[in-house]
Amino acid sequence: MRYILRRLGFYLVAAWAAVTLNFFLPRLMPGDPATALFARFRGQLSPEAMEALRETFGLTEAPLVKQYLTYLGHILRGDMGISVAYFPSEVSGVIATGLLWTILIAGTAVVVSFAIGTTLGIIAASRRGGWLDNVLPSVLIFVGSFPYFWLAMVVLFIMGFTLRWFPLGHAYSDNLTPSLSLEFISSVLTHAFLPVATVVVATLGGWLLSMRNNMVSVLGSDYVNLARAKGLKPARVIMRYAARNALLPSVTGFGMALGYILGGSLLTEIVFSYPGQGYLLVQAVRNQDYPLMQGIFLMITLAVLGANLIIDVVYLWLDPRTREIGR
Amino acid sequence: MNEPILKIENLSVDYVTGETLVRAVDRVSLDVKPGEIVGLAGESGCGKTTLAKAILRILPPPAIITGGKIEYRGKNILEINEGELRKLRWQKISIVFQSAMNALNPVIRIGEQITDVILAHKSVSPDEAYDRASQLLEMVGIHPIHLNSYSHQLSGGMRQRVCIALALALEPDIVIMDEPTTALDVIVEREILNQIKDLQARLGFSVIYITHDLARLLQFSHRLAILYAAHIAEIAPAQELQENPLHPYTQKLMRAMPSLVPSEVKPETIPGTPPSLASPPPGCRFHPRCDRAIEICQREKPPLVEKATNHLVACHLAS
Repeated sequence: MRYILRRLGFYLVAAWAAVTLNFFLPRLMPGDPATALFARFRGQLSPEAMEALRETFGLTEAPLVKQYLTYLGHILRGDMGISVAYFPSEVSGVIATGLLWTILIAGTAVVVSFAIGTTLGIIAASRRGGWLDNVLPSVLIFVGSFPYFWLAMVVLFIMGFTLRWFPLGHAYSDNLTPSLSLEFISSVLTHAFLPVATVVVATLGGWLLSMRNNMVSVLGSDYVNLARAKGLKPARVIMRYAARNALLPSVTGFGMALGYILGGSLLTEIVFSYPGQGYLLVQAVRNQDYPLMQGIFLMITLAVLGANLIIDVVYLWLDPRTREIGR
Repeated sequence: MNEPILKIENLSVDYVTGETLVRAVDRVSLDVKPGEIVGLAGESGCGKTTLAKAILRILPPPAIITGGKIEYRGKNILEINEGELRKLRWQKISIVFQSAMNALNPVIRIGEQITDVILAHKSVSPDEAYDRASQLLEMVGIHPIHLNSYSHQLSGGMRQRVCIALALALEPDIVIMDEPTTALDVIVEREILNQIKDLQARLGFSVIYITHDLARLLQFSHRLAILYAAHIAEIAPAQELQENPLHPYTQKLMRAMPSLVPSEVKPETIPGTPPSLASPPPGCRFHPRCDRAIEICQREKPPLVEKATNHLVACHLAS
């Protein structure tokens, strides 16, 4: 328990550092969102309106320290300002919708890829030298070595454009309004299929190979050999004695992958015009939308920290040896 | 004593390295009688552990058994199917590994590691298995509270005791002990050896005890087999071997042991190093290091012949 609290403290400090960097970085760059917005309205805004805008974005003439404190207060309340690109929506609202879609596709992709890849890794290692072990890893690594966006575009071109099996973009059909109807849900699923499938195919090889290699070394260990000597059923030896231990390093990788979901789905969302976090980030950069950028960066950082914290806790549960060190 | 319970005949084990085969156990024959402690002694890399693992067919690849028979009560272990093999393992023959540090699974509680083998072989309820596991721990002097411990929470000696308790869980006929005390200090080692001897006398199982510590074996086992470079050099009852070693290698091993009583005789070393099993010397494998080697030793492998009752030796000089 003390261990978890200590980790929590560490992550809070890390989060504070990220929030602070997030505040100073945009202020070091030339240009400000109010001016950008002012330019977008092509002079139809009065100077007073411009001042009001600066006020909204927190770019007041107040001393930096005061600005910083105001900013911290806003962040704590979940208020990240007003978006320029989606003016006058609040950044938190814009991010929330994007977040939902990103978690749907990238989250599903990571979980599915991890589950399938790890299972295949266990099978490949337990039938070492079999066809699965010989063929599959090289094929998957070959596929995974293509630049992801290229692979995704080829798949989109063939399955979406030529064969018309799947839609070309967006999260759901334009003629539907979000609801819990069967029609809407199936539309969401068909739209999510290609983005998820391409990420899974591209990342499967890594999971497979790392699990396979962990398994091979664990299978050679004394305790697995002893489990065999005990006359236990092969399934129990493989799963309970070998896979259980071989999983530990993969779990670390899984945690890191979870953390990179928000930052990593940029390419997927661009190729499939998917309205997630990555797509929003591109929009934010195009429109010099600093508040939105800041908000997204903050979310990415918090996601990485959060995933790490979760993995720390999961590890305590998975590996009894870490409990001792924690005390 | 009566009929042997385990008969190893001309057993050969090879390690496949690329195109070549390295023979780690070469036509080894050895009997184990009920209730007997058979010591297996030899230098590192002479094939002791390989032989032990071959008996349970748990040799890791790339090792393969290339010849011979291992008969348990008249049935060849090398020919039985997976199902029969699983029944034989632990129920009839169990093993204690060299390093208890690595032999226990670090993420599974001690209790589960003992009960799972009981549940796999006996039709008992989980509660009964758990009770049996606590008895087993008590038998080796460990408080049953440690059924809930993980191996890293135990000391080295406790871990090795757990492994011994585990090996006796199903009251097997034969327990193979592969240097069970290597990682322990001499005091713990002595305690554990006494415990093994006690339990052996009480439960009557046979032991195949593997070590490079000849002095220990001479006082601990009934009969000894000396292994040199994958071959059996000599087999004899402990006392006979101590009083009348016939193989030059055994004789040199005896002289290499320090004496407990102060004496003028300094322990001797054996010159040279054990041969590589990838390219063993022709003839008798010990001849390059033997100061009494004669011409025939370089050409012909000496057969293992019975020189006295139960005393077998493979040396041209002895015949």
